[in-house]
Amino acid sequence: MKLELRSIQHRFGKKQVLRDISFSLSPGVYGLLGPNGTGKTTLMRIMADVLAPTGGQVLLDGQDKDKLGDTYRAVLGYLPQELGMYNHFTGRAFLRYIAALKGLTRSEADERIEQLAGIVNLADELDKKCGKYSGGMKRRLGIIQALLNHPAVLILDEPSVGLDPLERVHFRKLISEISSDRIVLLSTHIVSDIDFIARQVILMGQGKLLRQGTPAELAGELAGEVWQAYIPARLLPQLEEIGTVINVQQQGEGLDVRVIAGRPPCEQAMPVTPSLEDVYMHHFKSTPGSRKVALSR
Amino acid sequence: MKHLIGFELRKLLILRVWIILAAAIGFTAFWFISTAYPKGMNSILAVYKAEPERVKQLIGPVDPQLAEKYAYRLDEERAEDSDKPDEEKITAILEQHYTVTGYQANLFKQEVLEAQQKIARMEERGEQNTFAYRDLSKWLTMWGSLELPGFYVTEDWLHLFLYTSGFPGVCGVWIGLLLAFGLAPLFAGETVSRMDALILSSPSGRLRIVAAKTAAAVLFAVCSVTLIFASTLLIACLPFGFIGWDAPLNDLYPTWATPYHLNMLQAFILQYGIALIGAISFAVVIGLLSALLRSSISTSLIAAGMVIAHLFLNDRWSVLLPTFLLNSGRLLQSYSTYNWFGYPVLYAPFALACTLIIGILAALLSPVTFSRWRRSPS
Ligand SMILES: Nc1ncnc2c1ncn2[C@@H]1O[C@H](COP(=O)(O)OP(=O)(O)OP(=O)(O)O)[C@@H](O)[C@H]1O
Ligand SMILES: [Mg+2]
Repeated sequence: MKLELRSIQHRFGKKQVLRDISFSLSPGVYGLLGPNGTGKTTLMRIMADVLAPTGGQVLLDGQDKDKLGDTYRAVLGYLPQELGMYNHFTGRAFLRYIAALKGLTRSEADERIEQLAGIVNLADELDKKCGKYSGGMKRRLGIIQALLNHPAVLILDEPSVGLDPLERVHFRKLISEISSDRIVLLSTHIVSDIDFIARQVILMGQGKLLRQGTPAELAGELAGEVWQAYIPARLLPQLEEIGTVINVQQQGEGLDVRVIAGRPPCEQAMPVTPSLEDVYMHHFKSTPGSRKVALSR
Repeated sequence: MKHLIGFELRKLLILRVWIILAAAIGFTAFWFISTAYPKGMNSILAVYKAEPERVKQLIGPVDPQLAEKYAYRLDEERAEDSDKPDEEKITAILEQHYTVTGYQANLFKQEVLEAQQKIARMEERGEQNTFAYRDLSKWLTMWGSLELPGFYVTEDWLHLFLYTSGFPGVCGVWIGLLLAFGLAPLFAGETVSRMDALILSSPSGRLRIVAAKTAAAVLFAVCSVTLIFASTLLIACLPFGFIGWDAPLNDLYPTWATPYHLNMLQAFILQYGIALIGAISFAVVIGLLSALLRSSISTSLIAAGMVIAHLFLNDRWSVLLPTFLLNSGRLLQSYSTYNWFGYPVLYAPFALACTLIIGILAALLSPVTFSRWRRSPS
């Protein structure tokens, strides 16, 4: 199975949000990574057939999704960034409704709901009204609804937002387990989410595809350029001129810093193995706002 | 599909709908009890309650001699308003009503006679091929087949008719409001609850969901009309044992000119059917508006505007308003035709067809409108 995007463009009014995006996906987990407002959600909405792009094609096994129509949507599982629900429905009724939309019979639906609710720890909350759910419960309900129809293509827009650390671990495990025979695309700006489970990373910036590759490949591009050093605080501005300072930690009298630079930024700098986070910072440090996001996780 | 329709109905049945329904039935009960039910000996219905056997003896076609005998009652004050003792009042009411009916029967015969003479004159002048001639002959055929006005107790049905189809036709207004406020979120509600993305991305997210929603809207309309009509019928007629159900429709003053040979019950059922068609078409139109505007508030305001408008518009082109048939009695009230290349076509079937076509057009446009959501997502 292959899902292919060909020259996807999108414009909202005069604003060009996506520019000529092409890539193809085969079974496995892909992480869509990029700062706020890059167009990740827009791209996923197009793939989920919710938004008609102003240009380009999405093909499933070589066939245009618009030609496949219902057949294309039948293989989809989609978790929108902002999940809607009916506040006066219980979680169970909501899931039954989604199952009906996906064409499941009542008994198939009930069986599947029990099974998935067990996996994401929501079984005890299913008979509560959706309006009373916490953020994390809503997210888990969203994950269940996306998985109801055993989707071959799973599109998850920031699935782990609002999950506590334990649930996040459960979620990662679930995704790894189910990804052997299906395409999973998940967006996030939490680098560690992807680091653990994504086979491939798709790096997006300002509506463009910047890089696609395994985490190791992407990190490899920075080999020999990431440094760790213990410096007195007064040297920090100097370092910021030489390279990109990724991380600063107070350590006794001085600072522990991590820097990306073409050459050793100072005498005491030691080369370290680059991580995916270094790659992210390397690409987006200059974008205001992205730094805050990366540091605050 | 059955599942989906069930869920769509469930989404529609929110508290607001039950409140409007309860208000409608409550208001109906209040109106009938306070203005239509007899108070003291103030109507033929009250007389019937007091002395049913005596009234029943008179019921039926008018005996001209008896009507003549009571003619002196026409010079008296209106019997219901007098302050005589009840026993005298009952006699006066019965006799006055009887002689009025005799007078109406004569008028009826007179109309037939005049029309026959007019037709004969037209034939002499060789006007058989004109629209006027065909129209008058058609009227005479229909009118001639009616029963002569007779003596019946139909006040309960009169109030029922006034309530459904007088001005304002309160039944139609309640049904209209139920639909306007109940169905406005049919599509727009998905935008508000941000469910549009999940629906559009599902395999049922194009035609099937629109079909399910439209079917739910139709069911909603059918239930609304049925509940409102049934409750009104019961409130209006049950306390009087449905007396007069088999009396001819032209016994009521708003429908004295009806060309249709129907009794009260048949006319009521027909009204129900007409209101059903009106409500179904209106429901589909509201669905279309809801998909087009994607706002429950603007949809319900426009729909409520149509409900108000149908009270005031009554020329033949008001049939283009999808709410026109909510006042379901207007089609039965008089003889009204339409000149179709020189031939008279009854207005009633024409109006029904117009409303049906509006509904069908709206149903066909809904999927197109809904699929445009993908071009401008919320
Ligand atoms: N309906 C819309 N109308 C106009 N502009 C929009 C619309 N939706 C998104 N945009 C714009 O498109 C751009 C991309 O938005 P998008 O939500 O796809 O980004 P994102 O990468 O998902 O961001 P985030 O990480 O914050 O979720 C933004 O500049 C946004 O303002
Ligand atoms: Mg987003």
